[in-house]
Amino acid sequence: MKNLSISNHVRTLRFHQGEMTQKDLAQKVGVSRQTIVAIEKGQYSPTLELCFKLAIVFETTIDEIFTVDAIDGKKWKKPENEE
Amino acid sequence: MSYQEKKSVTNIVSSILITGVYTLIMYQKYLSGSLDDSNIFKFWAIILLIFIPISIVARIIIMIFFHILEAIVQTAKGNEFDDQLEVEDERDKLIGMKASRVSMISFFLFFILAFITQLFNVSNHLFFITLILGGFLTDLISEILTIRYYRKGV
Repeated sequence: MKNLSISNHVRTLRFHQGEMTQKDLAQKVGVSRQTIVAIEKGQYSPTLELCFKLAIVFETTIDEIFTVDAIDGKKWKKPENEE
Repeated sequence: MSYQEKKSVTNIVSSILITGVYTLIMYQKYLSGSLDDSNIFKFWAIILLIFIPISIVARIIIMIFFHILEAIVQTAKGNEFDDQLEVEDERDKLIGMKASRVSMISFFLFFILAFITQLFNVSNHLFFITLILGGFLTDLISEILTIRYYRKGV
């Protein structure tokens, strides 16, 4: 498992939070607006701490924000919960 | 171009400007015989010990001008300049660490190269010139990498 292709729904979640601006989100999670821009573009993978902060702001879970699309170039789908 | 990228570009320009002007001045002094190079270590010690404070002060002045200019431009555009002066976050730190790692390796290579020059029948001045050139290029490499990381991502 060398390369993970990770996408995120930060832009969509911001939209659902009443069109929250990148600046507002950046202030809430304590980073620069440029970092939010980089995360949305998929140019930067945030630390676990920042992921949790984003999850708290969006009142959701980390896996609702970030999803793995492919592993080593092969498409990957989240396994269904087995209970 | 983001604030961080502009800052790196300013650092590159100031580095080239300060080093270039200082080199020219010192070279003229050397040609005119104002600098005594009978003792190579003393000669280079004088050059470097004068350069360090001049470089620091000049960089501070250039950065002050950069911030004033940036504040004027951003205010004219209707943006709040304070927004850009955010505290360094995790991405900035990561980019800084990645750039400094490469620059450390780069300087180490120049350091080795400086010693290699002494294996050949060349002037001892070349040792110091290689070291200073290494420091200068390492600074440029670090800033260029910083811009690249900000643009392409880390």
